[in-house]
Amino acid sequence: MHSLDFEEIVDRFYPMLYRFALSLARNEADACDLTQQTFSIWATKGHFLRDGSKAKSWLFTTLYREFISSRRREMRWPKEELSEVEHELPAAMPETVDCLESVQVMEALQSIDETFRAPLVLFYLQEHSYEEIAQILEIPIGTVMSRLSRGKLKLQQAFLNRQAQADANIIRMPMRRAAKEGEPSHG
Amino acid sequence: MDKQEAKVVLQALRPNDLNTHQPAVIEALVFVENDPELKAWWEAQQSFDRKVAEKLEKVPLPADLRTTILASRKISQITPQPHLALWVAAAAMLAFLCVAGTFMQISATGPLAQTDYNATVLPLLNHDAPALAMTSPDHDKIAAWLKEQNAPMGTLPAGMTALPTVGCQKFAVHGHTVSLICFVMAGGGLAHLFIVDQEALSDPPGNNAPEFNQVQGWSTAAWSDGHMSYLLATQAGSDALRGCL
Repeated sequence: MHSLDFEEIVDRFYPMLYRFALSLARNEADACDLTQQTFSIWATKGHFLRDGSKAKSWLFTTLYREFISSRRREMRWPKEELSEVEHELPAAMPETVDCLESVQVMEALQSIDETFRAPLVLFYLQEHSYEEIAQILEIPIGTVMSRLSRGKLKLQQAFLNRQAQADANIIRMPMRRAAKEGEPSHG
Repeated sequence: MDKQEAKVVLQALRPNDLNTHQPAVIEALVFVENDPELKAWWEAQQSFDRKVAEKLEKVPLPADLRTTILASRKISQITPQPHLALWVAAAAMLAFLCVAGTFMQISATGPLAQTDYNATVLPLLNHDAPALAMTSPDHDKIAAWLKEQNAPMGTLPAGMTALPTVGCQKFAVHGHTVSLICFVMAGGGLAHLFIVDQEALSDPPGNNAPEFNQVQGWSTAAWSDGHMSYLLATQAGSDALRGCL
């Protein structure tokens, strides 16, 4: 990107920034605040960034820092090695995703621990390589890899839990009706 | 590298993003080529990733978010960041104004006429680009900030409760605290609402219906409700203003 025109940058990045913010903040109002605040900082400081191609990383990094800052607590990033990751990774379940709405997928992502959620959402936004994710989150590349791996495992578990919950609801409904039918009538 | 380690590395890759100088990645890709089971696992994984990414891309965006961001920019843009020397000069000027302001407040007691009030607060809008102390599209956060600042916060007209906010500020005018809230109107322009205690005005606007005017290039609407008086101003024209109420 050669031009640093503000409106172009907003149009290009605000959907992804908002979705990243929504995954972090877990509610729409805070996600809007984070997104707006990020562009507000860009409006006042973005002109210092001469290389327009770095705008994307700058915006995501700024949003993430704003989120951390808004949390008002220090984040600890323990170093993780590849060997520390669970040995048995389950097979992926693409068909499970088909059954879910986009909002449900976001909810599943939001249910994952923040340590894994941030790299996972950046990965699925498809704008960043694992190297860029490492820069944005300011963690080592090996840590990004292990968190993506664990994060995907947790996401698959979250999908399975949702599916199990949905199945249970379907089974429970007729049982409730049957119980009601068995109740003695009053009056 | 064993198979599990290769899986961990592969989870971080996308088929269209394999450019890397990382030896571990190269090693994992070689592993895939020589292990059909791992290759099948990775293909399933990529299919899963692609579907999740597609769903994520469809997460709906708030309808007014883009407008709010662009409106905030308008304000930031016309309020440039001064250099250090200018900060020092501004600090000196601020100190002077504080001293001067103290004397002004002593001599300027009692309520203001509405015309004087308008003439004082409208220039604070700085040609549609007021300096805001906090920015948020969330009404609750605006209300919380004003409450924290002991600034007046009355009841908004029903039409304005649906408009996203850009931010807010508080001012001291003639010894009275005035709140300012900026909104994004349906057409995309800005509307600025001043709120002050009715006692600050010698001739507060009526309670029954807003009084519409043109003042210093602004379309304004003034009204009172309870103990508060309100002045709504926009440069987007009187029709847009009426549409807010």
